[in-house]
Amino acid sequence: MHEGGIGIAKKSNPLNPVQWNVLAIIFILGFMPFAVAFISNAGSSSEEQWLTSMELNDGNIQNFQDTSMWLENGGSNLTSWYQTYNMPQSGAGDDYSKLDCAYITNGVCEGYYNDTGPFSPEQWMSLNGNHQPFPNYNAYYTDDYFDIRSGLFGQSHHAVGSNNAYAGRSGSEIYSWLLSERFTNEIGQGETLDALRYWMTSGASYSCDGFAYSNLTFEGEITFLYGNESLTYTNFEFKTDNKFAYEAFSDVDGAWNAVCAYGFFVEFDFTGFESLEIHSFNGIGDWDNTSIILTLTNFVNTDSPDDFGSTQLPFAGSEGWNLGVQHREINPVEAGFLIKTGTLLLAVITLGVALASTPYWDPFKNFFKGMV
Amino acid sequence: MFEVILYIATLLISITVVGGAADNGWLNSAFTRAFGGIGTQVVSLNFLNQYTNFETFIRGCINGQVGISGYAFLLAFGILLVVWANNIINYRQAIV
Repeated sequence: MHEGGIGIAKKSNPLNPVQWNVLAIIFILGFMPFAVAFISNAGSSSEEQWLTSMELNDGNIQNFQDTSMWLENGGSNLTSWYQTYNMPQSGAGDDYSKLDCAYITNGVCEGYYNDTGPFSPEQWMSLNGNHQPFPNYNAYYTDDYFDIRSGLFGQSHHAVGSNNAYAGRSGSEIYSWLLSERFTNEIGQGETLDALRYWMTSGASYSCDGFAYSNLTFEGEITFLYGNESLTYTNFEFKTDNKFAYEAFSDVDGAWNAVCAYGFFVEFDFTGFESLEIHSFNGIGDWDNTSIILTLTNFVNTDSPDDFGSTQLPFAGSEGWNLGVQHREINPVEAGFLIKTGTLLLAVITLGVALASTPYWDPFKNFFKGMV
Repeated sequence: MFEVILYIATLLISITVVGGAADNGWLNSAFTRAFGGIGTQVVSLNFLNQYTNFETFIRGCINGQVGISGYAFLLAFGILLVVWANNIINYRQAIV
């Protein structure tokens, strides 16, 4: 009787309540994320065909003719490095060029040492000359440098004094730029993004040996702006070094020599689902009227985690830096079909699991009966 | 809206975990059950938000990015949560 009772119980319910609950949790935390990831990535391009995104400008885009601007330049933590080596200067003429924009917050130049600001962009330029970058001082041109179209842009700081060239010695918190449609309008109208890649290199080149290159980790965020709307993707994580090696022809040697700059690229790879979201967000791929806010945060020098002050970043030096943009495309029709079909299938499976969770339909019990 | 869906899903997860643990003689005090339940919900919510694109997917479904398939999925997922919540209340297990 006792054995028979156990037998009947096992046949009617092969798993105990805890096991059923574990199955339910696995469905939510295991199956569902995998299924969503599979569906979301359906239609994403597996090809490595990177296309030029920026328009070509043979001549300078003059100051303030572009809406692009620095939004943040490292955070407001003035380090001892900065305070020691960027002392305010007094005087007239060129000495005013010693004025520096110690940090930029939300597009406003703050942290003046002489504490007489804030200046208007026009005042700032008249005081500092054309080489001093204000957050929206944008005189630049683009070129197909390194086989990648890029622009040479002013740093938010510049070399101050004779022995204290500023180079990457500010904060590690947040760097952010508003990039106008000039940075994306080479993407064909109606095209759908699969990924965006930003190349960032210092304007100056250095020897590949003997300079301190570092391994870095940081995070990224990208916001698309179209009309009055915005669409943000966060939680991109990057792990790279800051050594950008390439070959340059030396007139002296008559040979191609290895040269290095401080730099790296960051890649924003969107799921197929996100690509469609962007596609419909910006008026079905209206790239002539889409701006982007690019944000990089929380920099860590993994070789020296406690001391970021001397770490070289391509956009935290003096004079200029190169910014290049490339993109990859997907077929929105194919991706849309796969995503919508996959979602419908997932809906059917989810509804099936819901019905199977009631006492009225027991496919799970019948399945496990055969196993137990 | 999508936050509510995730909160409900992870709340059900934490209830099933705490209930299962209590049935097996663990988490005997109210404090440990509350701690275990909140901890489980925070961990599972963070997992879904940070390590998967589940939240983006649900947001896209709500916003109509996936068309009628997205609404069908939301309906099915909603029915699943209601069924499991009812089962947990009445039978102390999600699947009966």
